[in-house]
Amino acid sequence: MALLEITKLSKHFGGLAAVSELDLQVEEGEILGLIGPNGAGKTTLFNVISGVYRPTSGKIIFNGEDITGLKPSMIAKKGLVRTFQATTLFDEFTVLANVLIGFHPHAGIAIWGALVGTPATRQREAALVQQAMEILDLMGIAHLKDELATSLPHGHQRCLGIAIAMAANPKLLLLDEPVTGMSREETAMVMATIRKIREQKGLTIIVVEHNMRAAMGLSDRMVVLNYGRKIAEGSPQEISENPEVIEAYLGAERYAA
Amino acid sequence: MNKAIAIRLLLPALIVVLALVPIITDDPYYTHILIMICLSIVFAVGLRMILTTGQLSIGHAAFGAIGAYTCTLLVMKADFNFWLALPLAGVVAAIVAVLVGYPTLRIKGAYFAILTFALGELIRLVFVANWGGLTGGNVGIMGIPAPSAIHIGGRVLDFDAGVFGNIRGYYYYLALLLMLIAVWVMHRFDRSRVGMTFRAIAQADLLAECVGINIMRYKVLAFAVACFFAGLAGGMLSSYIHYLSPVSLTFHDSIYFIMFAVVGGVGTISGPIIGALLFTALPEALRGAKQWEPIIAASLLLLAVLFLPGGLVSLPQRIKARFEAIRGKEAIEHGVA
Ligand SMILES: Nc1ncnc2c1ncn2[C@@H]1O[C@H](COP(=O)(O)OP(=O)(O)OP(=O)(O)O)[C@@H](O)[C@H]1O
Ligand SMILES: [Mg+2]
Repeated sequence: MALLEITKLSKHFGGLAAVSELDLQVEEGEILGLIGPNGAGKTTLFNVISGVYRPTSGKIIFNGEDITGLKPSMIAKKGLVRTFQATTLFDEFTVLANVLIGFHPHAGIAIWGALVGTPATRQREAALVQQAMEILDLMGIAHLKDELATSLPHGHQRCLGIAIAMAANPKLLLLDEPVTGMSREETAMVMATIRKIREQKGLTIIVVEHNMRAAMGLSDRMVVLNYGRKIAEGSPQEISENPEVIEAYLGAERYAA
Repeated sequence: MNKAIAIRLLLPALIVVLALVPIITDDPYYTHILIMICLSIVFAVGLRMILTTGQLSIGHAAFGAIGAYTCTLLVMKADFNFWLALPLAGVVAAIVAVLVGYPTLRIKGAYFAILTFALGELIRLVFVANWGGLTGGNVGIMGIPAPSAIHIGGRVLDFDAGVFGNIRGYYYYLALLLMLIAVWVMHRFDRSRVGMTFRAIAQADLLAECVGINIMRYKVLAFAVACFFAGLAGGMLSSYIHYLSPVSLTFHDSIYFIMFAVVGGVGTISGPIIGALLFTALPEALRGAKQWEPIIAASLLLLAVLFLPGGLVSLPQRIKARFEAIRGKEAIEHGVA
């Protein structure tokens, strides 16, 4: 059975169907590339899957459990964690503190234990710092651990966003344009890291990416959205040759021009 | 490191000095001011804890009033022992905070602030309404008894009799104890993962939710704990003043609590403590100019907001930074750098 099974999912904003009757299956261990022109509904789909928006209709089964309409915190605890298209961090915290907050769902620290500061909690906190450093190392920003999140350059902030999500220990990670605004070298580095994460942690990943070439290089399989509907699905090769996809992208370009 | 050691040494010394106050002075007037400072601190550190979650309450005094009426009515109408009624006052204030917090803390920013204002007024009107003749309406309740005497090992601690010749000595000790417990609890929150989670929610609530934090639970927790201590402070206040009415703790006081926290600085727990100290002591020092007090207070608030976003506690660091900047400039001018 697929790790994520979405059936007939719709999200309407007033008269606008941002996501429309969408069926989608994500297999355990794969990297699924989600592409589509501006306004296709990619971010909205992430918002609905992660519980930020309630779907208008449809069903989301994650890991065999119906998570439709659950709160984001509940969904995150079940192992479905997302990042944000617009860089979202705990700005006034250090890089390390940002990741420590990410550990929340499985930090295993009760409120009372934390308040009293029992030896067990202190040990646990120390262990979490160790784990946080490993994640930061993986993302290549360990040397910045004491910097304030807000003071980092854009590329490092994007990496920190992924690090926070990693700390929450996802089974399924949703990345919304992880390399947006990054230089070519940074993009290559992050792409390689995403693949490494998948290998090391056995994660399943859905990645939204504007940069077609980057998306093709990263994904095992791709899904194309346009006007909230799935217009194509297949290997990167198939997608790049699909006339409807070419039309959607060219159409969008023609429209933009 | 040095600072940590200094605090470790200074803090117990300070507490010892505070404990000796009734021996140092038997002046009821100074003792009164110290009691009011202690109670103000209890309110202010609580208000600040709510602020750390990103919510502003402008009805905090109402929870003091709830505690005051709970304690007073339990003692006077239901014959409760004061020492049982006082914790119950905190518990009732906290329960009201949970009931009110769940539906309202979802709302962010100015809307929540306005709601807490409305809530404060509503609670005041409930006490004015005098249902069942319980609260005495606008007239309030007079002759509230002192806390019951405590018997320990043959000794009797009688609040009316005072201690070390200071007739308000026991009240002072009770206020001091309340203040120390409140500050200690809030400090524990601040230092722990729980306090960190509060601040994370204030910075990016959606991100916090998306990494599995039940943000409502944390906001309600901060609100309830702050209101618990407000309830305790209110309960103690009424039995100390021996009088309680709907205007004993009002919107006006809520605004002062905000001022304590903002002028002192909300970044650390010492901010509201310094703010409460200053604002409670200052009007007394300027007693000749009582009518100017609101203007002085408002001016201080304005100055703090405009020029000291980190509050008074950030002042030393700012001065230090300024000096270093000047020194840096001199160094550059002298070609040293
Ligand atoms: N909260 C909202 N309220 C109303 N309309 C919305 C809302 N969020 C998204 N939309 C609309 O839904 C449509 C899909 O937007 P969405 O952000 O999901 O697109 P996207 O595929 O992520 O685009 P991009 O590539 O630009 O990020 C757009 O027309 C957008 O204007
Ligand atoms: Mg988007």
